[in-house]
Amino acid sequence: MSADKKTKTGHKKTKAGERLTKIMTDYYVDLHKGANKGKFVVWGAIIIPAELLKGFDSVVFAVPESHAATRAAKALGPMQCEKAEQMSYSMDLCSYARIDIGTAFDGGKGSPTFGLPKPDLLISNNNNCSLLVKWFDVYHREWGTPHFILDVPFCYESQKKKDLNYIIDQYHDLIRILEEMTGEKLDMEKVQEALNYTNEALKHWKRFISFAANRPSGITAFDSFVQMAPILTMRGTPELAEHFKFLADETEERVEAGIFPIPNERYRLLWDNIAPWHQLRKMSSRLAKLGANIVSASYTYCFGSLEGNFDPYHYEGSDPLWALARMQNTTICPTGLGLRCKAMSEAIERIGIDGVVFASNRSCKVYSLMQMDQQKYISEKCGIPTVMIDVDHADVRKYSEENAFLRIEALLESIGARRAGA
Amino acid sequence: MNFTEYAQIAQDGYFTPVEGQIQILKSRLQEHDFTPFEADGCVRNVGVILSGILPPPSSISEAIENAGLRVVGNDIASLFRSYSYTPEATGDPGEYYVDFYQNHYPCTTILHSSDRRIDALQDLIGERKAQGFMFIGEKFCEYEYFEIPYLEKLLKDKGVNVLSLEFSIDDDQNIGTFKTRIEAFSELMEE
Amino acid sequence: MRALAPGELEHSRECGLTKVLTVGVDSGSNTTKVAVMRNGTIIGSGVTFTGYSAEKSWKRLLEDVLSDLGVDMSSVGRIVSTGYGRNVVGIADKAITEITCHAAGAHFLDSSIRSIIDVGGQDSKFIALDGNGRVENFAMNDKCAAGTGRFLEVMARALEVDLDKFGEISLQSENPARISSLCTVFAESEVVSLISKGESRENIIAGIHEAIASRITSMINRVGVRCPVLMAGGVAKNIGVVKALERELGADIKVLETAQVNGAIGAAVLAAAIEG
Ligand code: SF4
Repeated sequence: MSADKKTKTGHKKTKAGERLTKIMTDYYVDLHKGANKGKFVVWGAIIIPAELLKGFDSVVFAVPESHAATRAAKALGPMQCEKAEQMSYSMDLCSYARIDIGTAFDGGKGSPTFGLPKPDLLISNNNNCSLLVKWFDVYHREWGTPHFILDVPFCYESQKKKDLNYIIDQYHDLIRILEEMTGEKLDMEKVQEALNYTNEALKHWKRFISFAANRPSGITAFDSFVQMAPILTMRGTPELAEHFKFLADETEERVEAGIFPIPNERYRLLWDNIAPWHQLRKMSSRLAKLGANIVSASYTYCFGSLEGNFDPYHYEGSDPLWALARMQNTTICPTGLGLRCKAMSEAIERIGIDGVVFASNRSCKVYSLMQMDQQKYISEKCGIPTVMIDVDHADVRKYSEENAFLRIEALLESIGARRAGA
Repeated sequence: MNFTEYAQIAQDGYFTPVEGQIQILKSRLQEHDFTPFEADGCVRNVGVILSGILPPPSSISEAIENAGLRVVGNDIASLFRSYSYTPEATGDPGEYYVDFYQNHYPCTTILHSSDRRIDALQDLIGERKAQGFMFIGEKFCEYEYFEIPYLEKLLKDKGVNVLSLEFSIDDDQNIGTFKTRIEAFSELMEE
Repeated sequence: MRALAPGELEHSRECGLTKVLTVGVDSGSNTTKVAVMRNGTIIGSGVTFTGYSAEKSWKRLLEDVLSDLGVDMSSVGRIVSTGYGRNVVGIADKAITEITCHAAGAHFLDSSIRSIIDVGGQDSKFIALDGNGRVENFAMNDKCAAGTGRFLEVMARALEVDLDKFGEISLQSENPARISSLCTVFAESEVVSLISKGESRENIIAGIHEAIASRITSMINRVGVRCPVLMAGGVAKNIGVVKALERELGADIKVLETAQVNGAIGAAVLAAAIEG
């Protein structure tokens, strides 16, 4: 067995961690190579039907949100945000958007992946948040790149049949546009195949994040945040399915061998919001010292789930366009409070959570807006302590560590007090 | 009628039931003499267009008009974009609203129309011969914030002066700093 | 010293007395400044704290400056007021914003100046001038205090260091600390935690200067810097901020002796230009 590499904090970096770096590097290299060879570059929001694009050989797919997250995790957020602010983009706008705009208009400078190749088509949707549409519009205006906007109805209960059909209709428009622009005919069999790969990948992803239910937990949410990059960028590929299988297998082996990230786990927490990209190391190691582990996060279910449920959706080989439309109402942002609460309380029950950290995110208003009500609901319904902290997921300049930890530690104390009282 | 007054009447309507609004408007129409508003002699009468989601707080409208700027048009969503097109009443609310949204004046927040909005705005500026464009930013409406840097650049290239201000609802603190900006903006166009 | 009688100025004007002096009054929120000009030369100026009454303070200051010059109000012709309190200077012939006045002052003192950075206690401004010294564009800080003198005041309090010493102390720093928060309150807690971690005073202060410089630069770049650059306002006295700004901007910054009274000088210059 090769010697495990040590990461800065002294944690052993997993093989899946090393493997991740490799597949993501390959992805960005392929993306740039493809673009250089004249492939058709699509920039898409994370939840657009990426598998559909796999029906075109000539298309490569880039994901600004994921790219922005990578830079934030590498502490490059503020530098790129400032570039956008200097172009008069308000510092109240989503930090992903500011990072991306700053990088894109500076020709990819300061990005470890050299930015993204310029797009031929922008595809956004309004189900994460409609501001993302405006963010993509910035490029549409500046570069004249066509911009396709998918309109996905918000849902308060199960997705309605007419909404599903409405989404499918728009897929047909999208296919027609792609065919016209690329000069290539869509190969539906390839879309089917891509869906199968995604499905396989999701199956292993579910296995992986389910190790949170182990005591002590087999994973930390921080591990799962990092591993999300390929699910956003490489859906519909065999590489993704293989990687997640590797990840789940390795985690399983470690759990069986009794290797746990926080062996002396005393507090099992759930995180609600996007990952605090600039704090992954700092926050996890400070929590570890307190015997606390954020074992799971609603964010890690933001792709592949259906409304009202954290579980990844299982595709059973029906019409690909139908399945892709069905998966547009993922569990968090495009769904109402009732569904969000249902999904979260089930997960709390299943994983065995002691307390919830609601991270109110200055950037992401859609994720944060309902948190106050959700916090109230969860405290009452699940009877566990919760806390609200202030973060910005990608702009460290709007985060105060002391301020956040004061509240997190108070949460741990109240969990402790309840135990002592019980 | 000056802009401050006009905006005030419109704003009073926001929280008044329709019947009440009709009443207010009727009586205003009766009592008001509609000779076009002439700024008094000392005012320089520099034409500006206001844009944004809501009209500015009235102290700001006053500051604008007192600084010698004349509001020659507005592109404010709640004062103009929303009223600019009224469908025929057909008795079918569904039909009415389809028509309303399909033919709505182009607006940043109505995503499919936001491209056309750029042209519509430039037409408005040209038609009213405005020298300046003032963006009344509403803190909550980030749609506008994604558009404004591009618009600012575009308009400046065409020789239109641009001033961006930012408010949150009912914000009447910091009036001093807003006045400084507005007056400096006016001084800048004077030269 | 003689108080001004109402209407006195109007009266003397009507009598056709030769008024040789023009005056600029800059009534700021922290400090009040006055400049007096004769025949195209600045002959006197003064600074005082504004205190609770803007009106009292500009009156007293103007009287003092005039009496130092051995004259009184009867020799004063046009007056232009500027600053936050520009409208409380009742006897002024005209109120003009600091933005236009700073431009006029800078252009008067050095006609090559193309950009002005003015960082005061409550706000910061950047003014771009055209070749003729006219305002071409300007930007002001957002609502937050991060790019203003206030930020420094809060930090000085947290560090228990006299603000006037900030500049000098920061020059000894070899390795400025990183202060990442934008929010003044968050940044203050960062500073407190740096102190408790034993970071040196000079490194913390240098870090504070870099933080404020980066905020100001953000504002400047929205308009675009042009050289030569002049810095005005009270914070220009802090060499640490000036140096940090020079690094961030990649440009030299001129600071004149008159930095703090630049707006008042501009007002006096504009007063001289009033016709009639
Ligand atoms: S605001 Fe939230 S949902 Fe919208 S782009 Fe930013 S992070 Fe994504």
